Amino acid sequence: MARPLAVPAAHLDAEAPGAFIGSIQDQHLVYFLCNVGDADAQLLVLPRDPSTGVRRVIIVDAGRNDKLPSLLRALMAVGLFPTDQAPEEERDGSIALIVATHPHLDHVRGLPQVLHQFGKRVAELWDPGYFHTLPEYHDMMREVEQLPDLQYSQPTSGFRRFIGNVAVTTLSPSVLLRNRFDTYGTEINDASISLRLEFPATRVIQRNADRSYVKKPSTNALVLGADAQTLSWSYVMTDFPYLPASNTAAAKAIGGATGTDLLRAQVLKVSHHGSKHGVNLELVERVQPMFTLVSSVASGGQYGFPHDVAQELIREALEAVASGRKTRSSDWQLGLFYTGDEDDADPGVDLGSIAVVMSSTSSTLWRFGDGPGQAIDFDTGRRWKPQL
Amino acid sequence: MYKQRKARPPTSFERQRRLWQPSVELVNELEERIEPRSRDTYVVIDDIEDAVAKVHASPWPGVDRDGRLVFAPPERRESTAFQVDALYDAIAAHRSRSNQLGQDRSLRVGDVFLVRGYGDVHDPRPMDAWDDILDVTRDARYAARAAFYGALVPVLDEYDPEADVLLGGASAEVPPAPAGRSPTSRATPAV
Repeated sequence: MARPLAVPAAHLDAEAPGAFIGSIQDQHLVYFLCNVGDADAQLLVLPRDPSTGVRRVIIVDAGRNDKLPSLLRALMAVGLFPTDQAPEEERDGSIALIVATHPHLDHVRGLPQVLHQFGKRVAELWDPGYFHTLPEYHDMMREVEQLPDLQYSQPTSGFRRFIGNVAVTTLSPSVLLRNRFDTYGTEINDASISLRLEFPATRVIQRNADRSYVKKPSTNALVLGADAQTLSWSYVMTDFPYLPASNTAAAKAIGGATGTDLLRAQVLKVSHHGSKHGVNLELVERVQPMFTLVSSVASGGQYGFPHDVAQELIREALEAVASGRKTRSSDWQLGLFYTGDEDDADPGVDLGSIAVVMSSTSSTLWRFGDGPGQAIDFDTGRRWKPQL
Repeated sequence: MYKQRKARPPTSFERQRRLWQPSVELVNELEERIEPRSRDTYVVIDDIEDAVAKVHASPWPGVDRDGRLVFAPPERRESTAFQVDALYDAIAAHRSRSNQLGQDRSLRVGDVFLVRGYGDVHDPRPMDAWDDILDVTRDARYAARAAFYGALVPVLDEYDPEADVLLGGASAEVPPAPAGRSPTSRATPAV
């Protein structure tokens, strides 16, 4: 494990209180990767629904108690999540989806608490269907049993759900891996539900009585890697191929076959806290992320995450230097950040939880300086400036 | 709104009246139902990464009025990292000593053991000081499946005629109730 170099404090603007919340516009999606140590807790605040005026959220894992409940309360306080006093039609389904990517403790520890406190707001729960003997697994199922309206599903590769203006596509597990769960044939990390979220999902423009289809929409996307390992990613690479552009005259004439990568995304949440088993060079090359984010203590932990070899693979994918033609840039220059990394002005203090405020064309990254056991305070948000 | 299932009320750990009693599989297709004690520890292998096994320990669970496992609150649980080889050796020794099945079976995520003498979950005793280790993985996995299906699909009452049909159709795959099926049942397992 190599501790990442400290991020230059000069690149992190200390903003006035309220600046982070003030930067969020109705059409923005806000992605939170919470600092919970070597664990995962993610929350996405979806763009405001133009028809209802309400924002909904998606939760992907809760690896620690209290972090997400406090974040949801904080979002209520600033009008980004319906309060407990909001009309029932706003509260119902305001947590559009909870994804328990796989039942490891560092991913599900806090989910029983979330379901207990906010269960009546939750429309759907996805988990891979991998049985685990943890007390927290039993706790989670007991909470589910109290929520008869909660819709439970076990998605596999290719399943897509549209939630408002966001398309949520399941990348993994492949159905082949799913069918091997019960025989011990699939390692629990490879049972992980990994996702690609793309927005806006809108493809139709209404003009009076006419509708037109948007052929080349400008969209933004995230790939959330859960703890999927290289076996699982190998199926993802097959199921979601790169569709190259055709150079034939006919293709050009009809304006089709423009080339697209079904895995391209501006944000990549690296799989498995930077484990050597979770990173695949070709995957990162195909995603081509602007921000590559690792939920990791960045100082070893029980398993030594992030692993050196995984960090090097990510760096090489983001900036190919193996041929020896240039020197390696720093992680922060590559847009590679860890929840546990620190800045050069305040060593030993986590830069903490990460938020990415995303429009269809741009993404802005913020840090909140919270430790794994601390709540996120929006007023401490510091905006990342790639260039000085 | 469409309801996927019927809600059943929860039960707290403090209110549960009986300890969960799984069976331990022995060699020669024998097994015995164990008699847990309230100070026993439920130990799960949550993760294995190279040479490190992350073990999650909690006080031995109870069973509520609906047969669901009920565990102590989260603050009474703790994860600890052990070297896989050392943990395997300790488990193998106890398996051998009490004729448990799978004496050379490698450790896997999801394996569950009753450990007697584990100590405080936040500060466990050394492995060589544990008094007994009983492998209850099989029944723990069945309990996890029961938790899952019990939460997500209707639970049949035993007097429901459909229950007979279900049991009859799958009797070869459904293990009989733990009590009464052990040719060598003892009140207290070998230590």
